[in-house]
Amino acid sequence: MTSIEATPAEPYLPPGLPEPIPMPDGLDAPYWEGTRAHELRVQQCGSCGGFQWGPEWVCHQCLSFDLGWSVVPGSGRIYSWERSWYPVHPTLRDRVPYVVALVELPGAGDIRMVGNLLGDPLQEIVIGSTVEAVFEDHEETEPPYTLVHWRVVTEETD
Amino acid sequence: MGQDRRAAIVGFAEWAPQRKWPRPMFTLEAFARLTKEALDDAGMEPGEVDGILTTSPVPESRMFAPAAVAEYLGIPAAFAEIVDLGGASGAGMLWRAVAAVEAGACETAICVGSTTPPPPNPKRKSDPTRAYLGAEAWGAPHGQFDVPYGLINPNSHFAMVAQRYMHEYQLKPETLAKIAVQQRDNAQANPQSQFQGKPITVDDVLNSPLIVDPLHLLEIVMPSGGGVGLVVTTMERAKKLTRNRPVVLTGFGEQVTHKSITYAPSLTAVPIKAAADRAFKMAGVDRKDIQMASLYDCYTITVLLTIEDAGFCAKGEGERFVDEHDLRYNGDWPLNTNGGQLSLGQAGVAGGMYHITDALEQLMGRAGERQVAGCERAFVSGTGGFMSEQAALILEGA
Repeated sequence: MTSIEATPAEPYLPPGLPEPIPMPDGLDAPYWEGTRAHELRVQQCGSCGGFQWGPEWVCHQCLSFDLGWSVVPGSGRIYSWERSWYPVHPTLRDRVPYVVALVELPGAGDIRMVGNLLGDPLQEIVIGSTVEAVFEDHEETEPPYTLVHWRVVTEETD
Repeated sequence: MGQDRRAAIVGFAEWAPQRKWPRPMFTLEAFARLTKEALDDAGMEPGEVDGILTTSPVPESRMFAPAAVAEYLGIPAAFAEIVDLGGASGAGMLWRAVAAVEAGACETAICVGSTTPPPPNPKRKSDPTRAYLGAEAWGAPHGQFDVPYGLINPNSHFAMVAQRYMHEYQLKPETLAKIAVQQRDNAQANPQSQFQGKPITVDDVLNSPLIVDPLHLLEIVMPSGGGVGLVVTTMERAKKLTRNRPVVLTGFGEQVTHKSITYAPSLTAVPIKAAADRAFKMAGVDRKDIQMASLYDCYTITVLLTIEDAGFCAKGEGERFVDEHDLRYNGDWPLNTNGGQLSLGQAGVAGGMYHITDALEQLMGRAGERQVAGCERAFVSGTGGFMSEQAALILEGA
């Protein structure tokens, strides 16, 4: 299992983007608690065993309400990606270009998650590359939160 | 024989999209004006209308929106619906109007959609990024799982679609650029286009600023103000009207698969397939029987994927199809003959309706210089979200 990197010194995107706000009904609380512990947790159905992402009350595959949460490996493959050159938010004006990746997790039923791809924004990106999860802590808000980014695994970091 | 209960489109109004709308206008006002203009075009009176369909949202009325529209227009509605399918709302409204008339739910229905800047509200501050896709709603998934990573607007989502397509199949940027170029050629002959007098080349497209890899500025729609209204009534009534050749909807289909990109069943197999299959089966015709197509074109990749998955070519053959065909109004596969939204501007959720008016102009013989000779049957697509909801229409001149 690939090791999970400690939080990077600098956040990938500058402060000023709206921070994530968990639902008041607690549906996704286990995910956010997991990120604070640098663990990746996703929903897994107690009836059919299927994984799903983003969190929902009902199982996407069998429609059961018997949904639990499982810790999954922070390892994935790039399914697709995009490199933004145009700042869609004033905060990003000096930060473009930056990269967003859609990562599929073979260790979690091939669910796909969105995150930033760390490293040089102009790096050559190959769909199918193996990536590992990197947790980015944010202590500046109340409550604090942690984002999940991804980094391409090369021979040196394997 | 009883009355001809088939429904027919008998008139329309279309506002030329403008990047900067000349004055603030509440949605209800835009709806009222478009309704009046569409009825005038059809030669009908407001009192005949008893069905109202609108795009969403109607900001001035967060609930009971069709009732608000009916009240504002002074029209009681036997059938009232707000259609919330993003860019597919136009096509979605039209088949619903036809179905309502044919089912006897109402006699004459208006479909309206518009995007106009409202008068500013000095009391309200909002973060525009949260507002996108309803992410300002407390706890909306996009606000949690997409926005913090800078995945905020359609450009980014469609770029991922394009990247994945280019990974799975053969597609070069020049082919995508050709779509934008030939639609712009069409627009040169359309006085409604704000890009008339501004033709472009493939080099122009590929040299235009890269907005999100691999999408360039000139293959992305420009947000604009605009609006469209349609009138649908019974064929019995249509026979007594004299303004326009009636157009009938002979087949339709709709498919909604997801909203969040993480739940997309595939980024390269899109819901137009199910929608188009249903439409063609209903109409009892083949792809080769289509004489012009107006395909939702928020981006060039949207058009190419729609051509493929609507069945006009085999899966993965989109590049070859576009390379080998002339998509101009006088070419061998007329596409978006009014220029499409890429060369008209995108009037928000009403943008999809310009593909309907594109087909209506051709079928009613009102396309002027852009007229496709002998055009009897057209295919229209609507696309909402990130190719997550799509609708297909087959229209024929009656």
